Amino acid sequence: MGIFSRLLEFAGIQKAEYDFIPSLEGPWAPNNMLEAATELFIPSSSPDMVAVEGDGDLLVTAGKELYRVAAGIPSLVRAFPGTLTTVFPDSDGSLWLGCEGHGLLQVDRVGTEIQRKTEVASVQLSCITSLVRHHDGTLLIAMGSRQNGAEDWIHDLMGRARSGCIVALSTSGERVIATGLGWPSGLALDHQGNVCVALAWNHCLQRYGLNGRLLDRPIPNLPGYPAHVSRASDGHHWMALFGMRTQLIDFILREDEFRADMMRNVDPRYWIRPTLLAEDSYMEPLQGGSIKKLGITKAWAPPRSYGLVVELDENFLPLRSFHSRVGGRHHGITSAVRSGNQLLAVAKGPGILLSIELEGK
Amino acid sequence: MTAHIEQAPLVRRVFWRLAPTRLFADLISKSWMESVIPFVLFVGIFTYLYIANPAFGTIGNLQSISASFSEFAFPAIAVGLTLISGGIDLSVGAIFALVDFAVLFMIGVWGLPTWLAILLAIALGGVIGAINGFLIGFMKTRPVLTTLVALIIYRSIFNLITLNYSEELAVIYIEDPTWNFIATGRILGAPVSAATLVIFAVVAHVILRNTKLGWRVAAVGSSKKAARHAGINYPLVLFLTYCGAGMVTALGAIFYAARLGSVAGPTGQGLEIQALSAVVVGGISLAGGRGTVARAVLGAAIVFLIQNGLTNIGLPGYFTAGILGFVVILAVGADIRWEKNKGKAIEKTLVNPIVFSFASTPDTSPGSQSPLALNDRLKDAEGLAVGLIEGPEDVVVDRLGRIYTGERQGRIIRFSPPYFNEREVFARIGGRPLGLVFDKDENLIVCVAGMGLFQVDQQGKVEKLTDRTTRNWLSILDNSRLRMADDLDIAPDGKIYFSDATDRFDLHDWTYDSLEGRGNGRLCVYDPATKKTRTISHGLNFANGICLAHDGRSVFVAETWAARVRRYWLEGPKKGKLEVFLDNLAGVPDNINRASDGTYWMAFAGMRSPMYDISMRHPGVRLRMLKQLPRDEWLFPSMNHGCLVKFDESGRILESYWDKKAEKHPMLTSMREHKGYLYLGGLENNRIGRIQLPDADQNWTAHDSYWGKS
Repeated sequence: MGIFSRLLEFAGIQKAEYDFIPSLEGPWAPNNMLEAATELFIPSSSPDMVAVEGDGDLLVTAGKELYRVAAGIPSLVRAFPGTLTTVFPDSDGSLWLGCEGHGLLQVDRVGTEIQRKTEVASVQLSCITSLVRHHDGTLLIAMGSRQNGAEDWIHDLMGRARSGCIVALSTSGERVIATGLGWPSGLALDHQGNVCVALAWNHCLQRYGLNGRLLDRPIPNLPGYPAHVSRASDGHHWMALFGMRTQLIDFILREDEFRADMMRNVDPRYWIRPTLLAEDSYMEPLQGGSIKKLGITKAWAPPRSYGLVVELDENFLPLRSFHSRVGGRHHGITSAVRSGNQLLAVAKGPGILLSIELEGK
Repeated sequence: MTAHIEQAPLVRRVFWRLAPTRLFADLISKSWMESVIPFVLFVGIFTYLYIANPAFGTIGNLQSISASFSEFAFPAIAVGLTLISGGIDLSVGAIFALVDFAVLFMIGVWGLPTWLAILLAIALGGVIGAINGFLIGFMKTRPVLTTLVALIIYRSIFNLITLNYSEELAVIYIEDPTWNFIATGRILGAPVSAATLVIFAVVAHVILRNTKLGWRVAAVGSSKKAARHAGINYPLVLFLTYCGAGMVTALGAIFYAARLGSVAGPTGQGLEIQALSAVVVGGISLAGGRGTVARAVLGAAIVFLIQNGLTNIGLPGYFTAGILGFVVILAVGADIRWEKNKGKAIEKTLVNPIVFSFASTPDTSPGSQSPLALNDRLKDAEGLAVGLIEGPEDVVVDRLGRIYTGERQGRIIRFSPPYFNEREVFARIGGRPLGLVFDKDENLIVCVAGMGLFQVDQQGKVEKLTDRTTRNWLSILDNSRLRMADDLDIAPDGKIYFSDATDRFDLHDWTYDSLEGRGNGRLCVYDPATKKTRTISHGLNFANGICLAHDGRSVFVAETWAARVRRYWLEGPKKGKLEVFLDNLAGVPDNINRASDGTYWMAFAGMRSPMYDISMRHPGVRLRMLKQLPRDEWLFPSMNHGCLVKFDESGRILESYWDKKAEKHPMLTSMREHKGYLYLGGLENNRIGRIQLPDADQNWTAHDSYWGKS
């Protein structure tokens, strides 16, 4: 913010306009359902994404490993040379994987490599956050950032990078659909064949035509940072939010000098930032509302970490949500899918695959 | 993380330290500031006239204009008086004319002695004013209409009389030494009228500001209704005000008569408007209740100089009147804006943070060799009175083992052994009781935030010891009132040393003080022998825990937001010195108390997080955070975690007791050793904690340590 606009603001001529953070109400109203979820599977390294294969088995990425959970029994498919950032089971039974440092891999059911792409439309593939296959056969690829790797997402946020992009790969050719995005983290298709992308740093959902035209913003302002989005068989979408925005985080994102000082001098674990799981350490910054009163932390205190999954309808409008609030443990949800009447969610913070029974249909 | 600590540029440090906005806010909150603007205006006009016209500054000219000025100043004071009482007097011009006629007529035609004539003239002014006062005060008529009508009537009477007695008046020639002295005499070089004005103005100023009557006038002017509810007989006050205004106007008229010795039709015409503009320019509010005699005189001087100056330039009279009207509108507008926005401006500058650079935090990592290494020794602390108490900031144990503590609701609560599960209200003080200590006779001495220093005897009878201390004369605001008395200890000679954490914020706003990081706290001492309180040192950064050294020769003072402890020497070669004793602590220190082994316990109410350290060197960020974000979102020191440390006389930290998960003792603010146990308190906690100290002297009590075995 320039000195001039600050002066205007001080004089009351120009009112400061900041993105407000929507409050959790309506379909976003807090509950404890995610915290009460069953803990299904705890891999050795923290899981990141869950997906459903055509036959109903679950695929779970965890660090460099890929697991298959069949009838509740997990088994290791294969360990890969780089961290897996996303998995997409294709209709032909093969799997597409984002593998950090190795680009895009296509493997068969047991993990044998079929093909590998490191560049699409002259864009170096790295930090692949999401993959989805269009009806016309085009594979859409979302890259979170071209500056930072997937593990360095916090640097991408605090560096205010806007270098994410979406590229398309099809038999007819390769092209770029959108660039300059703030960490696109999840792709989903609507029934008209348009692609909806969840943008973490812009905290919104944006819809694009396959020709790259921005159509609209189904949700212009989210209360948190979205991660992967998945489509269920009933046409609804399930979106995970890996962290919540707080006014303090949004504030320091406006304070460039202060943020630079923080990034230079403080261990990233202790920054003012969203985390996947708060450490409950005095080294972490404390906000006023989090002070324990009479031995109790308020559940509505500003969250450093939070667990949130939201169900969206065909038009990406929110229907209901599942929460694990401040003081809970099932935080940092990066992925959620519906399989039958079961909701599966990855709590990356504590490193657990969670499951919730949904009412039958 | 890095040993290197970044320093903010010097210019920035100095700017935030000086806090020009705060200086401004402090200044405008003083009522004398309202006279400063008219005063500057006066000096400016005076200087201008002095430079523009060399003849203006000569003694002769000054003497002559001060005579005519005084004649104008008296009616101006009269109008000022009525404005302060919430009304107005438009009839001063007519009163002036009538008295002028009367005094000349009594001496020149009736031949009365001068002194008698003067007294009668003043009485006449009083009577005419009293008629106004009777109507406005007792008949409750509106001042503007009443005095406007009075103006017309008195003026008509004056015109009638002067017409009837024009022959007599034309030949008046008074040859009387007293009268001549009044007309042309000098007292210390000044005309008699000017000298009288000075004496009168000083007396009237004091009466109005410092006497019951004066206060009542202002009270009625501020709000008639409130004054009535306060038991003020406001009709009488108004009656006296207008009566007085008449007499003061009469004074001016007498000097006028003496100097000019004649009566003419235009005498006193338009005087009410001039007087009104004078007092308004001087800063007396048209809304009533605000103003002083000095301001009336000052305003009169300004208006008089403007008129005089304009006439000298040769501008016609109507033009001068127009300019005066314009000045009045300006002054009234400025007055309204000032009143409306002053509070807002002060509020905007409530918090004035500074650059505070911490050195890198000491190592507290678990498993390290540091005495501060994170452990979980408080995990098994026994919880006493869980849920029976809200916010036991400090705890103290008497010789029978009973625990006393202050709570949020302003009471002192007692819990008795062996179960400590029965809540007994020992005393009701109010405020927020914080630090506690027993004196030699086992009276409980309590620091009460928002109230001061109190004593509770063994029967629970509460007595105030002090609520004031000596003020800091470098501070613009009077800070003699104790704002947040926090902790205390008693020296062998009975003097009570206590801390006043901050003199700018109330207890529930302690966050503001932490965000400022400026140091608004004080170390004070109360002497029971003389019942006097004195400030030893100010500018302490949230003066908190106080503890007298085991040998009684020095006092430890915790400075919470600076993460340091100071030592004040009572005796010895460093007597009177306040030195830094422990610096760059890992946490923000709260209470300090004696331990049985000759060392000291200290509580960290919270820890310094790396982000907190960084924020302390960015005052602008803290200020904007405060303005843009709600309080629940602000960055705080890590007040959920805290620990106990033990330090010795040489300033070495010996060991620490942590509640790692902050489950039982978040925000640990105090601890008290008693017979092998350590009792723990917390400002926001719902319990009193207790841990056993197996290695400590199992018979040690604070009372014995301070006052010897009994």
